[in-house]
Amino acid sequence: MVLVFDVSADMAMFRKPYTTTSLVSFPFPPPTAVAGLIGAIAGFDHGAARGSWRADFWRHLSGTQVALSFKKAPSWMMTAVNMIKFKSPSGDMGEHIQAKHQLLKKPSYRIYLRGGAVYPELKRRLASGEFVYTPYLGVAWALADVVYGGEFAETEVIAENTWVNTVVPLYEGVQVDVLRSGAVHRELVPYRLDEERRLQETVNVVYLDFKNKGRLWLKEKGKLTVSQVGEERVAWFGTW
Amino acid sequence: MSFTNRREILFLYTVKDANPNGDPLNENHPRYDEDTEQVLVSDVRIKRTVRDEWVRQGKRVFVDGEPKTLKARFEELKGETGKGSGGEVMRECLDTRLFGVTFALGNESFSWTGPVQFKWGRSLHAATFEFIQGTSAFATEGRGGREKEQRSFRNEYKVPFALIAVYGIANQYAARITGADDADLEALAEALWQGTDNLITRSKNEHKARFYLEIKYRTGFDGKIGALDEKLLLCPADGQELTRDRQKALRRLDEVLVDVTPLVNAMVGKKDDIETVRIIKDRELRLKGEDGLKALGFSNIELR
Repeated sequence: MVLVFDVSADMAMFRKPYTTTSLVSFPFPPPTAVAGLIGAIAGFDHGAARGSWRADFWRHLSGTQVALSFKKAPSWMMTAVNMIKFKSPSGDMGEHIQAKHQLLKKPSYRIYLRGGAVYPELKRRLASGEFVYTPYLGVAWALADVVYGGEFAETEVIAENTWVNTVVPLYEGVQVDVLRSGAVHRELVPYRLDEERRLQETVNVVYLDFKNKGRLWLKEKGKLTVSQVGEERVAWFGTW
Repeated sequence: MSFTNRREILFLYTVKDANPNGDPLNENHPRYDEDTEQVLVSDVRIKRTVRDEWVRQGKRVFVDGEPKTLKARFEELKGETGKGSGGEVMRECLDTRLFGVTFALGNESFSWTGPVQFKWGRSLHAATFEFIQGTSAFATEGRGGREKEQRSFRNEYKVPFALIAVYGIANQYAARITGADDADLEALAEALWQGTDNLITRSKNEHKARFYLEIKYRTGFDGKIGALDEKLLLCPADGQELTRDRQKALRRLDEVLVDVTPLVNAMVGKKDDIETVRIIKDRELRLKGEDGLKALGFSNIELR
């Protein structure tokens, strides 16, 4: 069975690593951000009060798989946020940090989840419109609205040549039909951290360019698992 | 004891001939959404307003706005509180209990997500942005210490009028970690209102608090209505259509009514989960659907 829920916010920022003075965002929450979102809803404390590097919620996510689709095309804005530079004793504005932020405007995504020990608790929380820690999209002020879509049966898509609705991880053997898809974008996203917030694994993904109203087509799905969930075709990230 | 009831907060204020929140890398142009021409106000600005008011009231805050290093500020607070560790000192500060903190000094490193999280504020209508030039008060010193005979110009942006909505959540589970209690939330409500009225600086004059609504849910309720700011509609007082151009031409609060009907409907849906609702309203603000709000029976509306 597959849990389906939608998340949206007024703005969001899923910060790319090594964007220190100009904060650049992924266009969608990478699997690591989805993991944090699941942890917040289900109520797994990250433990950062005992050490800022801690990400205890990962221990609860073993065996879980997620997938993600865009509910609307990403739109962007750039602005700067005036932050305090604590390391400098001077008081003028020049001693603050005016960090450029690339923000997503009115983002909205659909998240699919299957397997793992978190499943029943997440389902209970989603179905009753509850969350333990406040869910947000990337940054604490990007308060998220979470809407439960339901629990759906899935059937595996066997055909090699298939369309998909979701972001597609480029696992071994996956071949995207770019001509038929129109245009696609590619990103390298963090996929899994350990409980001390160290990056364990990244994955290359592709997603459809939204100027093209078509579908993302695969020539070969290789080691990718694709499921039919309701009327949607879901390409799963690997099991955490 | 930390607070045990989840809350949702909605706060409205007006800005007249002022800059609600300048973008420092865009010549201090007021932040705005290019698509909708709505004014934006960062959560950092909103929390600065609150912190400044707490400082005025003599309450202990960590980020006090004074120029000093983290180490210097921490040493000051250690002296004031008699506490030793970062965690102990941060628990003595009102702002870190409510808004959280990332602390990294010496061997101590921790991060608290604040129980109170605010979204960026957004005006309920499209606004205009005026570029104003003026003459500076004094000439600068020229070569050889001689005074220049001409004064320079200063540039600034102003928003003629904006009615801005701010939405926030207070989460009881995060409060267990930071120790924020009911009195802290009361201090927040007062500082939002008073702090906004007290923003008397050149760029922030005139800011005026107009409406505060706080939904306190019953103990054990873990849900929310969500995005209360998006459950308000702005209606023109004259009944004519409020086109984009007319929104941009708004200059006074009495030109509009704030329709709270969608908000009331959402609250009716959560009636069994709501314990109390606190409402403060400025006398000049006109609400549409106010009777529905009163009929919920949770609160009287306090007029200021």
